[in-house]
Amino acid sequence: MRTRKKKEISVLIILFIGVLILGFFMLSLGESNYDLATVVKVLMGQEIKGASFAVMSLRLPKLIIGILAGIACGVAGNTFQVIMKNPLASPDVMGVTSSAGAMAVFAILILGLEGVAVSAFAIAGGVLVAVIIFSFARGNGFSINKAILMGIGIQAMMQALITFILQQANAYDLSKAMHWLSGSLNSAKLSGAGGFFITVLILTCFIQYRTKELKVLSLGEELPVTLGVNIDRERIVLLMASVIMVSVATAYVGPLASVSFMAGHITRRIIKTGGVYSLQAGLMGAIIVLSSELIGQNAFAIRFPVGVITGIIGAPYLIYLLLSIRNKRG
Amino acid sequence: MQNNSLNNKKLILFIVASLMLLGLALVLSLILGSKDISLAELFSKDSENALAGPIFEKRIMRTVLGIMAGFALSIAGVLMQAITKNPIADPSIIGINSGAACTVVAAIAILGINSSIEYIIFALIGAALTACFVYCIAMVAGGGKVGPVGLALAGAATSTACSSVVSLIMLPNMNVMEQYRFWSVGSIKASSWDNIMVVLPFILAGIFIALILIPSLNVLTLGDETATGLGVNVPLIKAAGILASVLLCGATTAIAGPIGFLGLMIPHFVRIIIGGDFKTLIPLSAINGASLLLLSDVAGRVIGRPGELEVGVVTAFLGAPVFILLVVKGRAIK
Repeated sequence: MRTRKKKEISVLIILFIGVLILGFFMLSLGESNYDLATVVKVLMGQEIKGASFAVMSLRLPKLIIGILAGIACGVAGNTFQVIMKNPLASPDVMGVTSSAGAMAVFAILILGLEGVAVSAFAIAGGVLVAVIIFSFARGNGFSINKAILMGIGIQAMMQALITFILQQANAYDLSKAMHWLSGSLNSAKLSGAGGFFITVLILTCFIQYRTKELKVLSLGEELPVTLGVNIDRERIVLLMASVIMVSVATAYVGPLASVSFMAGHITRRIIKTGGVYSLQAGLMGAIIVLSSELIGQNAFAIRFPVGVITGIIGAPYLIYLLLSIRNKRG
Repeated sequence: MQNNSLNNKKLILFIVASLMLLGLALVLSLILGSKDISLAELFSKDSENALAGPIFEKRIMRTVLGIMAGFALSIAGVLMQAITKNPIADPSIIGINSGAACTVVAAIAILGINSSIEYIIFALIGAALTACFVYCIAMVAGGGKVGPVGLALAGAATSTACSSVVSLIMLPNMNVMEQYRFWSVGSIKASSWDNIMVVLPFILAGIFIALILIPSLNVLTLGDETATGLGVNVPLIKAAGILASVLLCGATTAIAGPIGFLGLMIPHFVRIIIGGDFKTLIPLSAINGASLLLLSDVAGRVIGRPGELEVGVVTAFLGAPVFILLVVKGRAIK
């Protein structure tokens, strides 16, 4: 018992250090590179010509929004996977992300909204899809396969909607919309991100606080009843918290492909003690987002938005996952 | 005996109704649009109206393409569902669209292709590669059996990968982006007869293979072992069926872009009415598929005025609920 706890905490610390290191690189690398001393000085509020603007106004917002988005996707994806006992059941595979994205694109391009209003649309889209999937997929006993299939169907529909909206957009908005749709930190601003920060903070704490219930839900259908947990209520509350978190993240940075399904799964692969690890999954999400952003911004001659990189990493991972859990499903 | 004749009557009735529906769809497709053409104008030989000529030519082209695409997608759907024994198999679920898009965009950027014939060829190649890839993954993941969830997930993963590659190539390049966005929504607005002629042989070949396969497909419904026992070469039939469905939906995607869910909806609908005999299922799915596609296209033209709503969007919105219904009813997962 104690070694298990120790392992969980040490992984948490290692992941946290990982985020710090990546965060430093995020602030230091770019058009012009700055060393650690300069970055620290700037962060302490010292005015350094050139560096201050680049670090404080451009890179720091990206870093913070990236961390928040990563945590949101990681925690939410992990919660989905734990509740449904299936690594494939994550918000992005199930169409929650693309539906939130479609509504957000609609709000941005057609209605010309921005800020909190866009988040509201995204949340509405995400919650709507989640409600549809879970209300239909209940039937006699909750069927995960049904839920996954329905999610994929809805995703195809949302994709059609997104392409349609893109066609209505004029060429001027198109480039911006395409960047956003690929999932991008480029337009990250700290003003207006307060709501995002508070949402992620509250919901992450809430889910962490519910670790015990989450653990019980992951055990099976009958056991929780005997343990005195109201399965349906807990499941819905926890899933909705996750959906809201992913939707808000999507509204701010666009649909970040594959982050939510990779983060939780990788974390559980590393710790392997059969726990829930919400916080670890959140930090893992942040690590995936930050390192993809670093790759996208620095590894190529052209800068690519972070979502393109996570998509390219995530697809083979999903296929690998499919192949590795073969024969478990019909 | 009585039951049999009753079935025959029902079948004939359904055939007549399907043909009438197709006729109606044809006429509507010719006369309705951003500018309506009256029936009288349609049948008067001497076109005094100078405008009617070119518009009418476009409408004919579009209707012909609609029929071709409807035939091709529905038959492809029947074949895929029969071979994978999987009721949700459809080009849009398998990710063929994004596979085709991926090769086209790559070819635009790397090889600098710019003629529509080249687009079509590369789209065909992409569609074929994607179909094989997804099918293989689903097969391995299912331990030799292609399960619905495996197929759908393999398709979803491949789609994600392909669209990431598309963004990777496209984002730095506004020209490609502009070209791609109009290709990426399914539409049967054909650009020229030449393009139609390029894909026609592929579609005809696909339909031809499907027709030859009918007796074997009927035996295949009894199960792979039984079929083998009855002297059917199961792997060969399956390979031929996959080839045909790839030809059909690859060619359609190449010329019309992604038109989803048609191949999913139509065979189910036809099967409910007349049962699963491929002798009737394949032709009637083709006819009704063409009708539905034309009607969706007409609906898109009418709803979307003064512009138009592309048919791919209309079919996605019709088809996704059908798909969900299939899943809910448990037809997708036994």
